[in-house]
Formats: sequence, structure tokens, C-alpha cells
Amino acid sequence: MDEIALELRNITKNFSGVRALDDVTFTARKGVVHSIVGENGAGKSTLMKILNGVHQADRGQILINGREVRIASPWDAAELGIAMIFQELLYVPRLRIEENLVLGHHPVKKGIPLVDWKQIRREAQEILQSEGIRHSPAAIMGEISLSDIQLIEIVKATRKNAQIVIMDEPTSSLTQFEVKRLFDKIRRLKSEGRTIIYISHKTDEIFTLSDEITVMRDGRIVSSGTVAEFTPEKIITMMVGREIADIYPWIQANPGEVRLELRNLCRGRTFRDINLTVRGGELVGVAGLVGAGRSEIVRALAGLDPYDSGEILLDGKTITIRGVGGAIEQGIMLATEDRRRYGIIPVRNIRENITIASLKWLSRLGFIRKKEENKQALRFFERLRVKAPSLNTGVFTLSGGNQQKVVLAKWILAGPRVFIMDEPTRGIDVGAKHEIYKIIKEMVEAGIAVMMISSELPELIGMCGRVYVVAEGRIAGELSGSDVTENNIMTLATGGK
Amino acid sequence: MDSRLRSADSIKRLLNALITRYAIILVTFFMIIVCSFLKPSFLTMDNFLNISRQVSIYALLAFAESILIISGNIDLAAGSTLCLSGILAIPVYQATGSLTLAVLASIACGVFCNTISGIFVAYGSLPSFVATLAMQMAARGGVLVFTGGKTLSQPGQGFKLLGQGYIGIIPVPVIIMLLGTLALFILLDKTRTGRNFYALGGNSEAARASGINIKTYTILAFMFAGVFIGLAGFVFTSRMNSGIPNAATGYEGQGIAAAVIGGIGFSGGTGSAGGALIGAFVMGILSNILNLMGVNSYLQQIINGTIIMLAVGFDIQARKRKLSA
Repeated sequence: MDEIALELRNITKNFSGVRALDDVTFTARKGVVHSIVGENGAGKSTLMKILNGVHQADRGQILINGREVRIASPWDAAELGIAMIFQELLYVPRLRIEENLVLGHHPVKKGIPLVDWKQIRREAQEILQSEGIRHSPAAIMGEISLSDIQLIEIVKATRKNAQIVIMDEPTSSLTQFEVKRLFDKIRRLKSEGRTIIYISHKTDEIFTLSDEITVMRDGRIVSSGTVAEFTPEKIITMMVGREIADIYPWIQANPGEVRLELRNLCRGRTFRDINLTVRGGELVGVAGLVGAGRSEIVRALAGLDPYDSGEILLDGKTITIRGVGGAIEQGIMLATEDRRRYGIIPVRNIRENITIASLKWLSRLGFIRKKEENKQALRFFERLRVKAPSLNTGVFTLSGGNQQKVVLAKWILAGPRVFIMDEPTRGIDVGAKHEIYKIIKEMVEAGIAVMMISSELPELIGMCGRVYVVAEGRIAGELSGSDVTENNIMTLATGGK
Repeated sequence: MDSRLRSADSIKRLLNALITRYAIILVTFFMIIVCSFLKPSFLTMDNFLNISRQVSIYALLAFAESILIISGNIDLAAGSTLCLSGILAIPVYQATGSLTLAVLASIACGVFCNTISGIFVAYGSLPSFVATLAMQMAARGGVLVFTGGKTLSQPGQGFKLLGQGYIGIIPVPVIIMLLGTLALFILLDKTRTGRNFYALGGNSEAARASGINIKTYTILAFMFAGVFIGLAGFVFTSRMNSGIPNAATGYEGQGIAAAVIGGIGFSGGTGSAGGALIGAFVMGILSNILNLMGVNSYLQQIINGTIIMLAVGFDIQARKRKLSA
């Protein structure tokens, strides 16, 4: 057990003058789960990309089984027995499961260079059976659950002689049941003598799974050792570099009249009979499993998707939503969950991204009032403390947390009366999360009716006075006050199972 | 020490960016210097005005392509549409004797053809290269039907004014080109419409989620591009002083190349009016140099193709680096 599988010595990496990794040294033994924890930007991803050959270190050595190696490309990494499971899974959605499994190395028949589909089918069948995936090998990859896809990816990556398996935040889009299945798989890999490098920032997972832990901050190793040397509190303090006394700010909620009301809102099989209310100056949470229909409800509300029937009332009056532009005019705005896809224009600068939804009132006769635009953008740039050199900085250069601040600035500037946030803190580090919470608090206290969809239960419990739980396209229940607990939410979300 | 290292590094980075981004412009400068030694006739006012006049039509096309590329589209029909728009001006001029009406007819034709493409792109969800490829054939067919395949000559006295005339020593097409640059600058930089074009090309889904009606603005981008194509069509026909049915074939390629060389990012959402003008000049200067050097025109086409390949290649590399950093 004491054999060392992987050793890094003094790895340093600069990106155009910014030090991403600074003298990183650690070892991972054979047959263990070695967790690497740290906030976004701590250097975890860079480190993994170096191990996978996507980037090369400026200085330092990598040793595998005690032998120094050079990893110039992902192919080199594969040759050396390093397998990488990315957060964003790499698969071909339109191909069958079996085709995805053999992609790039189709077995051929003996003698004739034709693909041996029978053998592929047989092997795929065995794999699916042994992994407990209840699909036919002929099922289309894009039509099965993300969790199944992930398992298939892991099998595919480790089928060859992969001795070191790197997993980057593998649980970020899994339900609790699926997480358990993934952990079982990880334990099986471990018992086969493989080393698993597990990247995460969720402390509970780390303690369930790891044998060894390395904590990173600002490109450096803060601490590295066996799991017994750590406690969750210690890790968080090390990750953040300071104590976080109270991450959720106390909201001075002062709910007024009912601002928004939904009556029997329906859309095909996506969601049915949605009834809910939000008052001005109130923060209402929406919980539920991924895919329960939470996002679809608010997307219909914001004019991004259609709805079939039902009523939307704003200040007691029935309104119709005509497209996103129409919703914005009514004051209903949505910060969507997929920030990169729906939130930002990466190639444009911060100023333009902040004012994009407010150009109507920032222009006169179709011409943009540039001074006023700059003034307003600067106001929110400073108020939300976006960390960037100036308003002219391209949004693609910003970290996830700062991009999210830009998205929030855009909507606050547009003056929402009802503001909906779908997973506002996903993929954001702890420090930036706290700042986002403070921004939400300010909005609520300013009298805006705010809804927050979140998969992070502590966040909903810590912030919201009232929570709707969505399950299978319906409102499964409403919880308020001291009833807002993890247990109650999960019971409703899973249909009491 | 560290800060000096960092500044050296950032200078290196800047140089790298300059070299990849502006490689072709740097090559042009280099060639200008070489050429001005070899050919005394190169660096003269006459030659410069000559280049400017030749560039003017490509520049107007580059403006049209810029609007479309910025908004995430492209126009492969520009050459045919230009030809059709220009030829339509001849009978209008002959019937009315009004240059203004003739110009307006050209512009209206450009806008009309592009609006049709735009509607198919916006409401039919056709990729713009398919819609405009179809329009390329249709517009050329329109020209042939309209002219019966014959050249329309002798459009009437005064028709050639905008194509061949001068104000002082400056050719009229050059003035039109400069006014066009100004108009494009105002559109892209000062108006809400222009801003929405950038948003559309930068990330159309985010643009929609921010309340921009992407169908409307797609069609608008095509219409504005149509204005420039129609105008280019008139200047072209006026300079030829006749309507040639198979003229301007492949001109869209010149316009696209000029735009991309001038820094209009091929993947949409970036670029400026000044860039498009510079791009057109780079193309014009290079071809002028090649002409002066006596490089034959077939070989020039190969060189042009290479330049387009390199310009787009560099642009895509630069963008990759940008988004992965």
C-alpha cells in the first residue's frame, strides 16, 4: 500500500505573467483516493491539465511509479496510464452507448478490416450489466441520464490500463442517489489498486471518500496529508485563508403586497398546475431535483419558453408575457442557470454586458447616450465589486464569480420588480458566494420580489424564509419558517420515497 | 525583479498578439517599403488615389460583410446582388433622368434581396451561408432574365458621374467610401441597433435572454448590409458606365477577406468600421503592388486565396487563445 503512484516536485506554471501554480509538491500513494480541494482559481484545474498533458509545467518534475515522465499531450497521458474524467463529459450524444464505448478504437474482425459489431455488443452488454446501468447497448447516449453517461465515461477511461484516474468535480450535477452509485464505483476502482485523484470543494464528500487530502490556495499547496490530519472546519479555513463567520447574511425581510402570482400555470408534460406567490421584499426559494421542472417554470415566466395555460398576475392584474423583451418591460427578469450560454456575451466588455438589457432607456432616438451608459455601468461595477481592471475588460477574462456579478449588475440596472435567479452561485467559490448573497440581500431589502432556485440546500435554508419544492413538474409542497429543513425538502423533492 | 519580469512578459505577449492579429497588415507595410524602393511610381499621390478608387467598391462590400459577420452571419450573395442592383439603376436613370432615383433604386434592390435572405435566416432557421448561397444564384439569374444576357450599354449622359467623377482631385467613389465608413462607424458604435448586432454575433442565446428580439435584428443586419451592397452596385455600374450581366462574380470573397483582415472576428461579435476600411486597403495595396511587380493575374488569385486562408486562420487561433486563457 505504501508504493507511491504519483509524485509532483516543485511544479510551477505561469500564464502570461500570472502565477497559476507555485512550487507545487505532493505525492499520492497507490490504491488510494487522494482529494485535492480548493476554491475556484486555487490552481486545481491547472494542475490537472498539466497531469493530462493539456498544459506543460514551466518548472518541476512529474514522477509516475518513481520514474520521471514528460507529458506533452493528452495522448502521452493516456499512454502513461492517466485517465481524466472532466466535469463536462465528453461523449457523442447521437451515437449508441456501445459506439461511444469503443469510439476511436473499434475492434475489427480477424482477417478482414471490418468493425466487429457482435463483439462490441457483447462487451458493451457485459459492461452495462456489471455497472448496473439499465439500458440496452443500442440506446442513444444523448437520451440516457447524465449519471449513466458519467459511469460509462469512467468505464471507458479506465478499461485500458489506467492506473491514475483524475475526476474533476464529478458530483456537480448528480442527485444524492447517483452520488452514492458514483462513490461505489470509485471504491471499486480503488480496490483494483488504482489511484484516484478527486477534485472537489464539497467537504462532506471529501471526508466520505478520501484517504489523503491536499488543500490548495492561490496556486500553492497549503497542506497535504492523510484524512485523519484534517477536519472540515480546518479545510474550509485553509481553502479560504480566513474564517468565515457567517456566510449567509441576515435579511431584514419586510414582505409587502403579493407582487407575483401564478395560477395553474401549465406547459405540456414539463410542468402542471403551478400555483405560487411572491411578495415584494420577499425572498422565496425553489427547491427540487435537477430536471424536476424548476428551470422550465421560471423560463416560461421570463418569456424564454412558452406556456400553454394558466394565469400570471403582477400586482393582482393578469398579464401576458410576450417574449423576453415583454417580460422585461413588465419588470420580470431572470438570471438563468447556464451563465456561459444565456448570461454573458464573452467577447464583449463589462460595460456592454451590464447595459445590454437597459439600452432602451439609455438611448435617445436609437443613439446610445454613452456618458450616461458609462456612469450607470460604473455605478454597478463598483457597487457589486466586480474584480476587473476596468469596464473595458472583456468578460471572457473574468472568473465565474465575477461573470455572475456582471450578470446580476445587468439585471439590477434594468430595474426588476420580480427578479428570479436560477442557481446563482453554481461554480462560484466561497468568497464570491458570500458577496452574491449580500447582493441578493440588498435587492430583497430594496423591495424587489426575489425568487431563487438552488440545488444547494444549505443555501436555501440559510437565505429563504419560504421555499417551494418542485417534483415531477408540480409543486410538491411549500415550507416556511422552521419547517425549511434539509429533511423536509428532500422528502418532498423525492416524493416521500 | 518580479515586476520587471512581468512587464517583459507582457511586452512579449503584446508583440505576439500584434504579430498574429496584424500579421497581414505588417506584411503589407513591409511590401510598401520594399515596393517604394523598387518602383518610384508606387509612392505617389496619383497611385494612392488610384488604389483608393479601386478599393472603394471592395470597401463598401467589406462594410456589408462586416455588419453580417459581426452579427453572426455572412453574405455569399453580395457579388450577384451588387450586379443586379447596379444594372437596375440603368433603366431607372434612362426613364427618369434622375441620378438620385437611380441610386435609390440600386439601394432598394440590395435591401430587397438581403431582406429575403434575412427572413429565411431568421424565421426559416437556415444557416446564412445556405440562404445567401441560394440568393447568389437567384440574383444572378435575375440579372440574366432582366438583361437577356446582354450588356446594357449607353445608360445615358451623366450616369458615370458617381463612378468616374472627381471632386477636386479626389475620385467620387473614394468620397462615397469615406462617407460609408463614417455611416458604418455611427451605426456600429453609436446606435442601439449596432450594439445589438454585436450581442447577436457574440452570443445569440444570451442576447435573446437579455430581451433582444434576435429575429428582428437578424433581418435588420441583412437590410443594412443591403444598403451598402446596393450602393456598391451603383458605383460599380456607374464606373463601368454599362451593365455587364456576369460582372462582379466572386466579389463577396473580396469583401469577406477585407473584413476579416481588418479584424472583424469571423466567429462574430467583434470588429469595427475602421478595421473594415483598413482591411480593404490592405487588399487593394497588395494587389496594386503585385500589378506593379508584373505578377500575372492568375497567380494573384492564388495569392488572394492564401491571404484569406491565413487571415481567417490567424483570427480563429487568436480567438481560441482568448477564450481558453
